Amino acid sequence: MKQVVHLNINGSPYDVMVAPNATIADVVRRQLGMTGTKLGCEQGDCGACTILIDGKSHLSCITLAVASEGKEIVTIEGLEQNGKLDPIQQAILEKQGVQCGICTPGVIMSAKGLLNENPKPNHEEIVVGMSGNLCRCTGYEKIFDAIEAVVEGEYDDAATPQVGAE
Amino acid sequence: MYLPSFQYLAPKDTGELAALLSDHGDNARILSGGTDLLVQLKNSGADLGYVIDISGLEKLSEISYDDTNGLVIGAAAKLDDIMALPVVKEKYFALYQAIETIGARQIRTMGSLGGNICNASPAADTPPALVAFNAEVSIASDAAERQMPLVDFIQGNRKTDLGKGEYLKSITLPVPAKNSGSAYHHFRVRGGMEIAMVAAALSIQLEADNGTVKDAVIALGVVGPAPIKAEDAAKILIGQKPNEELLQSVSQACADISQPIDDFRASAEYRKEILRVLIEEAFDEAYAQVAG
Amino acid sequence: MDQDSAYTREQVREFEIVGQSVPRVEGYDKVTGRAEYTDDIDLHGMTYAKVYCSPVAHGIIKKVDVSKAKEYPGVLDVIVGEEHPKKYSVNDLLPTETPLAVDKVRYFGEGLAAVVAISEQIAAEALALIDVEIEELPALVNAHDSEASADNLIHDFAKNNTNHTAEQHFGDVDDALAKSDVVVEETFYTSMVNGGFIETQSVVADYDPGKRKLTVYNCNQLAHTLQHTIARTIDMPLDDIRVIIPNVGGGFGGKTEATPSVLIASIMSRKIGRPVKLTYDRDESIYQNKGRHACHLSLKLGFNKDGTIQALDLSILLDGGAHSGWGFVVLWFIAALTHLPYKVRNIRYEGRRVYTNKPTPGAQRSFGGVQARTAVESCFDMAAVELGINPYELRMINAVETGYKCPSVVEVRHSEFKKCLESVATRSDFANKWGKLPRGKGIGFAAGHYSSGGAFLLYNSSRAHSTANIRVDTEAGATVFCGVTDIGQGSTTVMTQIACEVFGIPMRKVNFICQDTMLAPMDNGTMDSRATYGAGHAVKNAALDARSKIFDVAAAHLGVRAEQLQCKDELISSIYDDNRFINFWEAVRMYQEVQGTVFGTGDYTPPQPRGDYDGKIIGPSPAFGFTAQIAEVDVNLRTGQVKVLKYYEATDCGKAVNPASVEGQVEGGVVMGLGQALIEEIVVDRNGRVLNPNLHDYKIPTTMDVPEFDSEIVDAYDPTSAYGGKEVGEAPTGPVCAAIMNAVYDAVGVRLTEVPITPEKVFRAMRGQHSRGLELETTTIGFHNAKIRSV
Repeated sequence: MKQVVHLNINGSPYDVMVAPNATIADVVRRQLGMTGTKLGCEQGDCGACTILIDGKSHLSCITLAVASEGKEIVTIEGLEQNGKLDPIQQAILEKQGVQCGICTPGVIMSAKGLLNENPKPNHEEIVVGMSGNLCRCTGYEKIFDAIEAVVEGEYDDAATPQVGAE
Repeated sequence: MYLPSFQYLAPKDTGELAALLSDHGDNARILSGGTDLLVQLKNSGADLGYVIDISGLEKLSEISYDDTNGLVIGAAAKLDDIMALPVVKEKYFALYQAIETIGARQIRTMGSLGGNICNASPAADTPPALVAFNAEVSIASDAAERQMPLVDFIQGNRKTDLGKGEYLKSITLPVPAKNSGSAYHHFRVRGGMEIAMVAAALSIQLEADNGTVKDAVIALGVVGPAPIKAEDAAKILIGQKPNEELLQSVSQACADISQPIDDFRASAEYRKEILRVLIEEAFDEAYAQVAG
Repeated sequence: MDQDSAYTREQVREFEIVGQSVPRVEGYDKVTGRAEYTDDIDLHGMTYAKVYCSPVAHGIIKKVDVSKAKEYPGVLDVIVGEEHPKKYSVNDLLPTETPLAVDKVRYFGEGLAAVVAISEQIAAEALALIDVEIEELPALVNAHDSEASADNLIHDFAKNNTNHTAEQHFGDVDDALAKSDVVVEETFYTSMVNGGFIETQSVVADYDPGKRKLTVYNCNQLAHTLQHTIARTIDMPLDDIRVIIPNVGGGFGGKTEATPSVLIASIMSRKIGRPVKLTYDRDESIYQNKGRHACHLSLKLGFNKDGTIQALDLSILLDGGAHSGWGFVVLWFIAALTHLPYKVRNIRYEGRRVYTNKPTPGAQRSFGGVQARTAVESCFDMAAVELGINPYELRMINAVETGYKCPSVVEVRHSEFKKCLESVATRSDFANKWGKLPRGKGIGFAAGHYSSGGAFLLYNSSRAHSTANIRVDTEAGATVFCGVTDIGQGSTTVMTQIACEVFGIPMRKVNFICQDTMLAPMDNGTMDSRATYGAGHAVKNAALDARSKIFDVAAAHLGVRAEQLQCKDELISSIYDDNRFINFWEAVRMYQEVQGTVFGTGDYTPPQPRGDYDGKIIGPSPAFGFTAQIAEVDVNLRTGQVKVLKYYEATDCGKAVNPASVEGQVEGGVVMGLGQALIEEIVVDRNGRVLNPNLHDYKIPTTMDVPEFDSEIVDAYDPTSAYGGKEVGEAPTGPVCAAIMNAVYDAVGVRLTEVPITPEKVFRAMRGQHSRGLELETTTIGFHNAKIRSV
């Protein structure tokens, strides 16, 4: 039986009618049109659906929407503010930590959660901390580069970049 | 991929939980972190009556430590919260190592210790470590509460001693003796997001000479339907100063009682060989913690 | 224009945008979640389809009763195989596949029926109401057994289950081997692996009953090939079908084919007159596979004492799975790839591809290259030991150089392969480490190459392989229409860079329209490492065509000759007189006033083979990328586990148009190879059931599996290319298995001859026991108690 749940997503309230078996991934992708959250395996093996719940990285494909009332949910759509990218987004873009892009929202949300827990991870901590996000394109090197650049403060004053060389 | 249909229930306290279980126990599954349960449900496809969510029950998420009662972990306590507690790394190092091994950060954030136990997967990481600390579990229902050793609680592949209307309330790890050390070693093929192919946990206590083994508990993981407490193997150590030969006989004794599966991931024979390596390495690490 | 003189001029020129690590044009959309992939599409009136997957691998279909499913509330239609029995395959080469199984199932997970409903969940629920009866036949899960099976045929027409054979012979191999001082000989097995793209295949088919036209959105690498396949298979006029490729979440070759889902969704959409979405679950994606062929190889190499290679004698058996797919092509690719990168004159190749009851493999990054390189590079290592020549030296002695002509008349028009070899040997200090590291530590060398597009077009026509059209006007800037597909490798960015370089305008002034058969002219698509080289040529030629029109106007205005003009920073000026200039857009405006929009067109077709070329469908390549690699490993002497500690790579991709993208290709390509080398394999039990159809048991490398990288793009410029660049997408994947095998040999003295190199295989090999993996492959024992991971 469907019920109304009150979800706080990216700082805004959403009242959605959901069945108890709906996951957050289902709700944001299919009901709210926020398709930035990706699905790669739908059983917690790939990390593409990573979102933040109360600041920590969660897998939205195995998180029930009905169990998420009263929690602060942030998806990839919630990071960019008024056209300004989050430092992690900008670093992934500029360091080419993105290729096909399907794992990218999950990678970014996972990195965000990692830095929330540990703002200054060393290389090893980044490697371990990002192990739940499969990327088939990059071989991870450029993702590490991007997160390390953020940790080192290279993107503290991130502004929207112009695409390409001017 | 969809979850089968069910009704979602979120009790407000343990009393309500017990009542719900008493009413629907046969047709309900307890949801804590969801990292095992929801995946299982997605794959099974079979409809279920109720999912009872205990993740909001603060009482079941508490973690406490004192020098009398030891470490008491609520069944719904999150794996990363347990790992973050300094006393866990300090006094229950094998448990720390076992949790560190589970899945990836997301899984440890979501998953609970009680879930890892009650899921009763032969490949679960924490049960062998908990057995090595002689952990006890508290099981509750609306009628009563009972305690039993964890090693007896997990009875087999996906099988626990939980009866109708019962739930796992907490896990208690006694205060480790002085001069003791512990380690959990596992073997896996992939570096990350991987389950163990073989695992071994042990805790040891040394005499005041910091050389002779006073007591030892050895637990074997993934080499049987449930964690195996290798009591005879542990006895070999007691009263002895370890040397290579002694350790080999201990690891051999462990391999002898293990019953690993033979599947496409590895042969049973190979798993036994790996078990021996893990036992010896785990011992060396635990021993070094005390003997330096 | 006279290409040669133009190249010479370009080679010495400093570039503005070519050579810059420009961020991805579509990168902003990807990091913000805006980028739309197929499954993200939502159309008015959308419906959802699911496929009933066969629970057995081989059997006669007795019954598929869908009547109850049809009645299920919310179900709009159900189709079964016999309604659409028309067969298809890649380019119609020996078509064997149907959208849904007809009469017989040939692999585990093959579709038997499909349901379309108002929601995906309803469609999934309705599947449970389908009643299927299959008379099971013995599954053939091993290529050798399949070949020996005369009476159990997977396809009635295929004697001994043979799909294709290929033979090539140049020189006199028997004579050369007899005269060789050293002959090394070994058999190898490379496993079946899966592309492992994180986006499973998804399609939205949208039939417009009013116009009787079909639009198909699908994450595919070859829009035009897909359009042809749909048209032929569902009997629609080609020009009534429009294929649009949204963002593609990884392809790696596996998305070069039409999955059955595309045809199913198209058929259903035409039937119900509504858009139909069909997205595979991960297990279905693995059942469809289209990954790398498992291959048994038997190789002999002959050398003279001085290290010069005399002969190469290779025979292979490809495990083809249930259908034709790319099979014919991969068979010939392996043949073509054995001619390089060493100067071998006597070559014999015999290849067979047989059907088995397994998921059908297809194309995967370094298509044919992983198999060939695993055998050849391992044997080079063995020969080095026999000859007492350092493996690096042995490769240098035999390495091809610019201008080399293979006996098959394939010509290497540009090569900096030796620079690659030298680069990794120097950086890794190979000479001081090889054979000198303590037991358990090892270093291994391997090298390879890959083609930049074949000479033949997939469509068996004489059309250009790539065409680009450009429109330049003050209303939209410069808009390039080109059929190449960006599957994440970065072609959109690279093509934009090339257009900008020609025009002398900034990136944001160029729009790149691709991946749409209605807007973009026909293109051979993204495969065979041909995008930068082939489509890059077409874009450059089109831009030059448009630019010449703009320059003519500017020249008249400035009073100078058009060929003396240049454009930089949006200013067209005389190369002799900076004071004679006009704004680029002003010149465009002037053109428009009189002649309208500026249009330019350009195309590219590789040089066609001449002489007695014997490469069959592949044809010679206009260019080759090269790679040299060194792996440093640690082998646990007790467990046999191999850890790759450090990886050195050097690439000759000509001029790197976008160096960061090149690095990304190299790193990603090596890690894909590393996955196959150590942990990846689709495992099938004796009944043909896939045991690991999920991303937990089918293990692709995680962050914790990658080594430290040390890579270098060697200084190179291929003068035959648009801006000196050639392939990099595939070469790096080829030699990885061999580099690791060779390093393991250096570490512990045992030669592994099959991948994945599991700890148990190394453990057994160290104890002189037969490798278990090969046993499994040839007898498929030991699965009686295998369990599929259920959590």
